[in-house]
Amino acid sequence: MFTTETGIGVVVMVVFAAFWLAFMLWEDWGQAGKTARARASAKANGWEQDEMQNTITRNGAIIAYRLMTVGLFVVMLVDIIAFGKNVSEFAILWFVCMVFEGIYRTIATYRAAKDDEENPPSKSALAGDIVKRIFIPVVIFADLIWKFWR
Amino acid sequence: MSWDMYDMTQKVQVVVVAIVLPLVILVASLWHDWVEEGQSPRARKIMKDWEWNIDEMAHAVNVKGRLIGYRVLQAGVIIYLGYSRFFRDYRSIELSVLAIVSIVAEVLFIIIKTIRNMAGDEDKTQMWKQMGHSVFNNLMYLCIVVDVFWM
Repeated sequence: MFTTETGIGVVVMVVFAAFWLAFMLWEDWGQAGKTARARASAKANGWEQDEMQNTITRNGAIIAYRLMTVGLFVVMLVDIIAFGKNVSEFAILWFVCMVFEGIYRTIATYRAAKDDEENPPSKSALAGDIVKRIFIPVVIFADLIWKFWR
Repeated sequence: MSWDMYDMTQKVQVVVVAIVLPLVILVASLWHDWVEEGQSPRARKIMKDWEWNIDEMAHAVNVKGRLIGYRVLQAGVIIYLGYSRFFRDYRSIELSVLAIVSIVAEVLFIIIKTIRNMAGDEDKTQMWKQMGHSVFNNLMYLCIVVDVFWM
């Protein structure tokens, strides 16, 4: 049953996760040290890394990311096929991280190509790409979500 | 339909779809990342042979995108585990195990790679410090996952 304590608990959890996300992204940005501000921030906080160590850290995170996404896929399939369980929440989790990754890549590529005088990217192409990045995961997961949320 | 109701052929199909296929996807993804990174001459040769034209900037964008996806996934796992505990009084053992396995893999990778890179390096203190910070963050996350799971 939903109580005030439960509601507070959920809010605390969401705020904590948001802080964790912001902190990790800030640290990643500082450690990558692409700008003078990022390097100054990493140095001030004592988490600066040289290029080699930063490559190792990033590669470690990417391996963990691959493991988690493939693991989520396995968990969803096993839960559906063997136990007939509702996996819509796992599907949403997967969907959200795929969309974030895709949108970041589209916007960063657009910003990097903006200075290209020969083939400047158009804003409509950017919008189309973002829609595609959202639409493809929706098509993939809509069936899973629809199956259990009807 | 549950597992007991499947015949042998269906069980084999399930194993292929739920274990073999994801393993193939995982290996292909890791191989793709390794080639794209182009750290070794062999990786660069594969990239050249396959005419895999990816410049440094595009690679940096891809890596950053994956890193953001990973951080969002980590935050999502915390929210999901907390939500399950508070709203449904349910412990998602599969997601907790998944988070723990991936963190352990990440930590092991960082430690092994750093130690291998240390060989021949005279100033090891700085590398230990840098590695220690990454490992500490991951262990913090591990503690959070375990804590929320047992809460």
